[in-house]
Amino acid sequence: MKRWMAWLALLGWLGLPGGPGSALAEEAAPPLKPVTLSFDQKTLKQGAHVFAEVCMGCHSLRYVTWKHLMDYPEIGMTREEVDEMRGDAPLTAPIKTALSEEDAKASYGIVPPDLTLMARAREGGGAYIYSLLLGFEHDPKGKVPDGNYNVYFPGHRIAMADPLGWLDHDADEEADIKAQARAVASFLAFVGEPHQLERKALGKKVLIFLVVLTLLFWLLKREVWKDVH
Amino acid sequence: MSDNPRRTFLYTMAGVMGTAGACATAVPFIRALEPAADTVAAGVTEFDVSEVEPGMMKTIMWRGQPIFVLHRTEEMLKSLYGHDDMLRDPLSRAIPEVQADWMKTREQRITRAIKPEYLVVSGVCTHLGCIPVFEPHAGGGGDLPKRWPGGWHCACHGSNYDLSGRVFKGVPAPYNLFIPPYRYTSDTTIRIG
Amino acid sequence: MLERMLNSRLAQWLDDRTHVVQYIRFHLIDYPTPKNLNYWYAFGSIALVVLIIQVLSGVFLAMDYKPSALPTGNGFSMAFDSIERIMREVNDGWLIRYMHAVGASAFFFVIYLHMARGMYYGSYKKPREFLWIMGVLILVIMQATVFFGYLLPWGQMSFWGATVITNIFGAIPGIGDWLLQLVRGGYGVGDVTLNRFFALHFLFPFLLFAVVFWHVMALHVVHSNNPEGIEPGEKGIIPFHPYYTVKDLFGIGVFLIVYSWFVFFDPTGHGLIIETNNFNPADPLKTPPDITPVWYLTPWYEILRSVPNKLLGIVGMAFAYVCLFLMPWLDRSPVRSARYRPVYRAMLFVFFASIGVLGYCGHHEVTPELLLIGRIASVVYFAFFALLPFVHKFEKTRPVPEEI
Repeated sequence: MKRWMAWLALLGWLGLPGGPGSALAEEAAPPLKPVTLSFDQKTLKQGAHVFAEVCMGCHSLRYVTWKHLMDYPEIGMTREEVDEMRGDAPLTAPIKTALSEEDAKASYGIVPPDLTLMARAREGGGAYIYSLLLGFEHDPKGKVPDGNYNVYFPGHRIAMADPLGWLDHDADEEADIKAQARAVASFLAFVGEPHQLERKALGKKVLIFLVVLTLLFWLLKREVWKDVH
Repeated sequence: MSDNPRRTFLYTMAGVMGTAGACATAVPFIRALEPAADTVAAGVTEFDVSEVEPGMMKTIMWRGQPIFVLHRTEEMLKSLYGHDDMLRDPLSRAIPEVQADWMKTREQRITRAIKPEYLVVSGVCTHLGCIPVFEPHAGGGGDLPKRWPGGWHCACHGSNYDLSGRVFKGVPAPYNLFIPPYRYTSDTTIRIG
Repeated sequence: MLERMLNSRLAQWLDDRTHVVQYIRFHLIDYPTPKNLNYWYAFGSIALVVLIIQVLSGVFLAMDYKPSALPTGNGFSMAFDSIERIMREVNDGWLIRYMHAVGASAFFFVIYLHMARGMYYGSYKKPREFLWIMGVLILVIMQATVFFGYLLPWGQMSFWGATVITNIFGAIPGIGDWLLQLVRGGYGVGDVTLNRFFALHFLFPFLLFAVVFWHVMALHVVHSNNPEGIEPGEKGIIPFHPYYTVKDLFGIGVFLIVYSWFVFFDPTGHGLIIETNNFNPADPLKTPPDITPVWYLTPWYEILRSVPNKLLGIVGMAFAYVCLFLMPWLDRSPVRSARYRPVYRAMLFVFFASIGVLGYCGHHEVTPELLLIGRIASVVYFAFFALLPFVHKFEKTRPVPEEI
């Protein structure tokens, strides 16, 4: 009898609802647009220019200084190029928007997020940024105003208004907008982790060394263990 | 170990490679102790010397230390001559820190500046690191020597320097004020570091 | 060369005063070891290597890390900024940080395999009970250490993970609220919490070293078990050096290859080692949709989560650890190794599978299906320990060999 009750309790527990935590039913985002990012100087420089001309209206790169654009060899800008972009900003100052937090709140209701780590802080990384920039559509329900409806943004309503002019673009603009989106996505993916190419290059050397060393250990082990069997 | 040459060889190779690997692993850790990239970037200071009025001195910071930028008038430049007998190292030859590559002529060794009107020297007394006080006006009195041509006086231990930062005899400071590495990037902009 | 070093005059001089050479001979050279230990036995040495990597990289990170939640603008904090400074500005700082982050996951990976091996060959059984207890204690201290450490970057997962886990203390009846504030040093996780977690994250490895030392001392009294689970006898014994020094070196080499692969080519482990959301600075006003601990804590977290009562969930989780501690006394079979225990062996595989399932469930958002699966896995976890005292009654063990 007692055992029977224990089993019943167990079954009852298995059927109990869980605590809160079930995700809100959000409209699912479509799969990210496929894109091949590249970290060559041409793309990264173009990305830096798109950032300075478009994104920097609202967004900053708090961990990237103007000087970094020269110092990171992958970007490799010249002093003249950087001087032209930075205006009066000091060379060693972070790349910062002129939009103050107060003004941003007044205009958009939120402070635009810093973009230094955006490619690392979102699933999909650079592909997410690329998709987001090309994700502006007309709201099928007609609720969200044009320019604020984005299929890749959680909840689909985004405060950022179509920065590259993707919505209702002409056919002949498409290639250019895509190239800009790809360049800036590459740039942000790069500055998210500026030592990533150095990391992979060093990694190859380390792994080759370790494989040889381990092979040597294996030969030594086999040699020494000949005595045992 | 053993008499087996193959085994000895493998032991030696493993030992050598293992040690090499351990040493290589130490490299990033030692590098991490060196000044970081942002520290090095902040080690360069740019300054527009035209900000300094004639006869005036401005103190700017470079790598956490004061740098004196003195705009010398004709009169001040003239004051550099005629007291060599009172100076310890009138031609700035004692150690590398008091000289610079661009000091080619005897004249430059006296004025100690790329452009003679703008003196750029370290504001740290070469004795024990105090910051000397600017005393530009000629004529002694107080703690200053009688034939005072104008210069800096260090209140800590009484060292004196003239308007080229050259140290006087008979004071504790051993050397002239150091010349920081700098160059002109435009007509009036200097880049220190 | 080793012999020459140990016989040198300097070594002799030291030995006369400290017995250090005798210790080295006793514990690292002549130390008797069964000759049939397989590569599963290398994980102990590997774990020690990881511990050294963690301490070394950790000390260097501490030189540039600032444990302060002081806001620095646009939601960022001094702690978050200092980590990014390590990643960007400190020479090779990225390497040292990745070594530490990947090292944390590697440590658990190695320790879990080390424990699984101990369970499989019955290494927890008499006379190695104390050895086993010290081992479980090492796991608990490691989990505490990693929990403190995960708060330090002050990212979204850091903050919310610490909030959720410290809330566990609040469920203890009577003293819960007091305990909660004691742990956090305030009414919520904040700057004070960050400071003390940093202090504790630095302190706990010392405890870890102490317990590891005791673990090894205990091992060197009772000696290694072996895959056959029998006493090795005179003929089954070989000295630790050179046989196991070279064998462990090979194991360490293989480990370092895998470890370095992650450090250099996948340091975030696709969000398993450093969670994607932790690149967002901590925001006390915005809870991320799915707060899950890092993979090595998820099995225990899932046990907690699968109980719909806060207090009972904590009791369940605590009991999961108690069961591990009690294992040497729960198992009463005279045969050690699972090689000769078909029933125990099958149970063990189901048990390992349940931990894997718990870990999977704990890492994902709760859905009704996952909740049910998680609960079944929790039942399996405890059923393993509940059955353990009775297995020897009906298990037909296979004949154990006379010698190894």
